[in-house]
Amino acid sequence: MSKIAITHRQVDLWRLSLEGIANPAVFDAYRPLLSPEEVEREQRFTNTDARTQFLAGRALLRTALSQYLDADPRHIRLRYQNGGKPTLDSSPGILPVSSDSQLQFNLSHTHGMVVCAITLRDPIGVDIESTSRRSNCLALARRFFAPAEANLLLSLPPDEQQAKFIETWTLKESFIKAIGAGLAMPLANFCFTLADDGAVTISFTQPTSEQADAWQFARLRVASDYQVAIAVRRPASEPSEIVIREMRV
Amino acid sequence: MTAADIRVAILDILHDIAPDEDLSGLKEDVPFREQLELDSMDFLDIVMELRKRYRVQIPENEYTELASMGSTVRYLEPRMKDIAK
Repeated sequence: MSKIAITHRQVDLWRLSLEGIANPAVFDAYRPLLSPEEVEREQRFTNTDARTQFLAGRALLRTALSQYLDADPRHIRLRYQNGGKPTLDSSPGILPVSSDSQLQFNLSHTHGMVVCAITLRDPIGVDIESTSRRSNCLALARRFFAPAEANLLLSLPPDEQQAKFIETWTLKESFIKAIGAGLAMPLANFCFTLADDGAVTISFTQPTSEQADAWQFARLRVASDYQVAIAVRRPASEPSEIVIREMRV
Repeated sequence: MTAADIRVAILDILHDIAPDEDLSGLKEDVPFREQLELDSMDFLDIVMELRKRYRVQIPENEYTELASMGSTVRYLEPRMKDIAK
C-alpha cells in the first residue's frame, strides 16, 4: 500500500528549502538516504553549495519517490539516460512494489531551493531559478532564444526584462529536461508564447517529432523569489492538477 | 594560442562569470559542475564569451566537450591554435 496516491492528471511538485541545510548534522541526516554511488559522487564535489544542492536534491528525490512506492529511500534504484537524466530502474525485482510502476520525475535546484516534479507516467521536466538572479539576459536571449522571444524581451521596459527572461528561460529548460535532450537541443528551435491569462503555448521553429498540442506548461512561484516552470507531455484535453508538497529539513 | 594560453583564457571567463569561486584548485578532469556552482545559464555564458572574445563557434551537439577544464582545452586547442594570444 503506497503512502501517497497520485492520479494520472496530477503533477506533484515537491520542494525543499535549503535554508540552514549546510549544517553538518543535516548533511549527516540526509547522506544515509543516498545510494553508495551517490555518496561517492557527493564527496567528489569541492564546492560546498554545489555539494549541498546535489545532496539535498537526491535526498528529496528519494524521499518523495519512497512515498509513492512505499519503499525505503535507499533501496530505490535509478538509472541514467544518455543526457544524464535519471529515471527509475523498474527492472523486475528492483522495485519493492509492482514492477509496472512508471513514475516519471525531474529535479531542479538553485541556490536555496530544490524542487522535484513527479507524474504517474507522463514525461516531465522542471526548472527553478531565483528571481533575484542577475544575468546577461539580453545577450543570452539574442544568442540562444528564438527570434520572437528575444524581440519580445527587447521591446520591454528595462525593469521588466529580467523577470520575463527568467520566466522564458525556466520554461525552455523545463522542456529540454522533459524530453531528456539537455542543451544539445538548440533553445532557438522552439518558442514560447506567454499569454496574460497565464496560458503558455509552444511552437517549433525547426522540424521535430514533438507535437505542440501534446504539451502542457505551468509557471508558478514556490516562494516569493523562486520562479518554477513545469513541462509535461499531456494533451490539453487532460488538464493537470498541480499539488505542492513540502519536505522539511 | 597554446593549451596553457587556452587554460588561462577559460579561467578568465570563469572568473568573470563566477567571481566568488575559488578557481585555484580546479582539477583538470573533474566536471566543472562538480567543482563549481555552475548551471546551464552559466554554461551558455561561457559559450557566448568564447564566441565574443575569440570568435570560436561551438555547435550545440558538441557542448558536452566542455564538461571539464581538461576536455575543454583538448577540444579548443585545434580550434584556437591560429588565434594570437
